[in-house]
Amino acid sequence: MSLHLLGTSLVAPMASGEGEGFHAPTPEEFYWPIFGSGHWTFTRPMAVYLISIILLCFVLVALTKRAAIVPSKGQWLVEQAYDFVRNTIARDTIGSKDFLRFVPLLFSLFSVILLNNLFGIIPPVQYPTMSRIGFPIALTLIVYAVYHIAGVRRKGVGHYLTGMIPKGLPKPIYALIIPLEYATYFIIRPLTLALRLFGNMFAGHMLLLLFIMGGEYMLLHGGIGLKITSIGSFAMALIFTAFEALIQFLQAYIFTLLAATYISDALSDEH
Amino acid sequence: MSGPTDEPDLTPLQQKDAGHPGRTTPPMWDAMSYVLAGPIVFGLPAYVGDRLLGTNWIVLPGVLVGMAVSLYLVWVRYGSD
Repeated sequence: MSLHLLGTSLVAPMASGEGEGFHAPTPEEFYWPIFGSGHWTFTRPMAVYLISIILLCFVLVALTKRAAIVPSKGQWLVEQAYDFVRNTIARDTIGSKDFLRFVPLLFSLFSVILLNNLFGIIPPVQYPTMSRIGFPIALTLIVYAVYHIAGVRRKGVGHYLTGMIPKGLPKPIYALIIPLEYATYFIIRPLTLALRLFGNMFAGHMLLLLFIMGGEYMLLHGGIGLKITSIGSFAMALIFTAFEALIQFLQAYIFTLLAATYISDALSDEH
Repeated sequence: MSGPTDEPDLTPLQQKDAGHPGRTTPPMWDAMSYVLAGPIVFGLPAYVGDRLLGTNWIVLPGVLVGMAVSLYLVWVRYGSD
């Protein structure tokens, strides 16, 4: 996306003969329809997401097809990623007894989110799919359904709902605590799960866009002082790309970890 | 842990996995959702009350009460004792 915007901004002033100053990147530039109209528009992030899923399926199947005891490099990579999600995230959060059932979901979440986030800094794509709010919402809805249904199945509706309230508090406090707890479990948790991922990806990509577009504007349309400053802008873009890579991994990890935490909360007996 | 009271035969994989009890305290990112929930859950009715009654001062105590309750809840759930 950064490349596309660079190209457009290069062409436009030349066509109009005179640039009217720097246009900072806006959220509208994230909307990139390909075909269709209205609510049924097929947009670029949808295409990127589809491609990422096909790529993931293809790579994972191909690298684990002839699984050997002594793994090949590709198989080793997949095993490391899978072990990370299975042991560090799933087993240590949910516990040895029930975690296996949820590992496919958690691994899928982690790998899809990580790949789509990384697309934000990989040059041909440069579009983090999770910066469009619909994608984190869809993933959060899946996690929401899973942890509530898991809790209800394990404990039955009554015990599940009463188990959300901590025991042993002085009686008058309960009037305040009960709406808070239910709002947290049913509204705030999924809200923050989706918004955390969306906000990080959106803001990070806006920053990158700003530095790259700003640097390009300063380089091409500015005086000599601005041209020198553009080096700083491009350097910041480079630094922030590296920072974004870290944030993208972290956000994928946090989403999956919180999904596992909510599942483990729903299944746990103590509170 | 495996023992005579568990299922009779744990597969080798289950034996390798045994001994991880799972988290007892959720990570701190979850506490953040409590801290956010407090002001929202108590501030929103306070704001609505303000709109209905035409006043403008109910929101502030509502948000403060919500923040206090949520911090208390975080302390109850995640505090050390």
